[in-house]
Amino acid sequence: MKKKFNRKVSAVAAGILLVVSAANAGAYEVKRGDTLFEIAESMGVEMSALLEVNPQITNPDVIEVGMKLNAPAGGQSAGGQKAAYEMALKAANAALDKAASVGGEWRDSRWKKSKFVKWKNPQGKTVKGSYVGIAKMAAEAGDYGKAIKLLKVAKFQGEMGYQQAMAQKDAGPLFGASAPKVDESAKLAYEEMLKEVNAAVDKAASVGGEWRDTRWKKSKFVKWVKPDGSTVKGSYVGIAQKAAEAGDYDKAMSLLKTARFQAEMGYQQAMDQKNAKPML
Amino acid sequence: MRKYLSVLLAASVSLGTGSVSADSTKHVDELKDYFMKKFPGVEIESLNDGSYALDESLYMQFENIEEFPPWEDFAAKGEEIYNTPFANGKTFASCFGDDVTKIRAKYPYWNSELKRVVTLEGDINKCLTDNGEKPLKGKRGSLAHVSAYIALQARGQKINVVVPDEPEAIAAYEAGKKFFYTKRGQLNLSCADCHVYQAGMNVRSELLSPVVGQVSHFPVWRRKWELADTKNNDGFGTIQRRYGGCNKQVRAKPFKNQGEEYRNLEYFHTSLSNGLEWNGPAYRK
Amino acid sequence: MTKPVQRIARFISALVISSAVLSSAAMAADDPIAQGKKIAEDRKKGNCLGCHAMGDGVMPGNIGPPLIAMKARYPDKAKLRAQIWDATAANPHTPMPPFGKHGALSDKEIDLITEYVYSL
Repeated sequence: MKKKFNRKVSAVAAGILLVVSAANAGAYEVKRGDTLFEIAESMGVEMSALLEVNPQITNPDVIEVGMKLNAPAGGQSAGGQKAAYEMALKAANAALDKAASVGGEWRDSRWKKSKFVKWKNPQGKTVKGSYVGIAKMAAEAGDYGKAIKLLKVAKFQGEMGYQQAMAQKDAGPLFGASAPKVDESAKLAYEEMLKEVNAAVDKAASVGGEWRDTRWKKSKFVKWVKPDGSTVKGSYVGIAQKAAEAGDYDKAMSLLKTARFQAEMGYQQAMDQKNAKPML
Repeated sequence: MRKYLSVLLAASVSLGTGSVSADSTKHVDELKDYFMKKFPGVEIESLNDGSYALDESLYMQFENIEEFPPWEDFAAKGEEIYNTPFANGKTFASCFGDDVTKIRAKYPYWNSELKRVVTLEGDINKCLTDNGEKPLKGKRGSLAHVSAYIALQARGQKINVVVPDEPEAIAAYEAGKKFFYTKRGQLNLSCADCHVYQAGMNVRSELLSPVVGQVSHFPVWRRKWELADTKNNDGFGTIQRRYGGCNKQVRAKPFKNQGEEYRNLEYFHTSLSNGLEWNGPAYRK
Repeated sequence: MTKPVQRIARFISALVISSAVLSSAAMAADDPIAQGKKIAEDRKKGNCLGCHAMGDGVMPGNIGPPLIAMKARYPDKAKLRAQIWDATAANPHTPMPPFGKHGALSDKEIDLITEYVYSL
């Protein structure tokens, strides 16, 4: 039994060795963001062919930066790469046509007057153009890898431009009659609550019972991350007002509730000690 | 879109025939209000001087330059072209009428037969081709010179773009309006971002001009274009030249010169200066 | 050479090599901020001075808030990076370009800019 198993393993190992030795060993080093599919595409081969000559990959979904991959023999042929390039060109143009159809095409994807992408051609001259424009030049010079990389960006830009246009179906002024409606009821509720809270804090203050972080402008107790990502610190009422300004009435209300609680507690505390005396 | 149009139509029909789309007048007023709040103490009528209306020292420099404007000779070239008869003996006056002062203020307008927006530059070229002449191509050079001459003759007249309450006219106006407020390009900016919400602020050292009063001084003589034209130092450009430039600056693919997008935009854009005076051509940085 | 001496020699040479690596790594640590500054100031890249007062940059724009006291405003560096990557997430109407989302800057460039801006 053991002998048979060993023979099978060695036969398989020998088979792998054969395949690998015929391939271009270590032809490609994995970079951040790479996927096996895209690497195969840029080599002009099927993913299965790529996996076949890279038995060290146990899980095709997990490849590591710096990993050296073998390229299938004949996989680097111009024929395979050219086909991959032509597919990428078609996909890029399709995505850009779609963006253009809704007026969302960007400047440097394929516009003939773009000068954004720079490339040193085989003659040593630096040429400038759009992503698709330079991709075509690179392909003509046989650098299909470069061409495919540029076409991927062009396709990405087409998709983004289309999304950008579609997300703004209702683009209009942010003021006047056409301004997006603010939730009036939430705003009114907040304004009512603010009045109540201020009255409660005033009441506590009137008996010297106001706490530090309820409303005092120098408090830094409450922290809040604004919609723009920056952090502000202040009192409960202070930050509630900032949140309301930014339209976050939920946050404002919750902070005001705490402020009211503190005001009530502070008032209670002061009143409970009307007859405070030393406890000697 | 149709539902919106029929509602608008119903609303505007009650105003009687030959009436104006209600939204176009309302939106200008909204914007004027907006800028009155943004720039307290600045007269809305003075906004046809653009950024110069917002900064005293800039205005003084501008006034100095306009005393001996760098564009005078080129506007004179435009006058020459305008007065030169075509091969068939006719002149521009046969298209535009005898009174050259009455031309600028007509444009841009909605042509109900052709069902499209017609611009001044568009009709300059239409006059040429209708009379067997070659059109003046592009957005600069001779076309801008003729446009400059025509603009000069109309200085002081009030801008008054009318949007008739016809569905297609309203649609064209609305398309221009949407274009104006839509973020585009890799840099994700709309015309409104710079010229409404950030008007009066600085990009590096450039003061952003407000949209009210923006179209009044076109065709514009831009110092930047003057310097870039190493051959002729011709700084003139039409409004649609500037549209292309702005779109390129936010990394959006520019649209076709005198195509539907820019014509609709020019229609909407010009209406935002209704009530202000035509004051072209003028120098801008 | 005897085996122990061999081992010591190997150890010493390894130490020398690694310290050489260390000192260049120590120099490289300053580099991200300097590199980030360069990309941030580049008109064709971050062009941050277009809208923000930033460090010693001249003639800055004033559309965005000045980039100072950044550690106090963004205690979490990741949140600062997120804002640079896509400012529209926090405010869809912002005039700040979504540098990462729209691929105007690479991930690496955004990392470096974040290092620089966070240091202001």
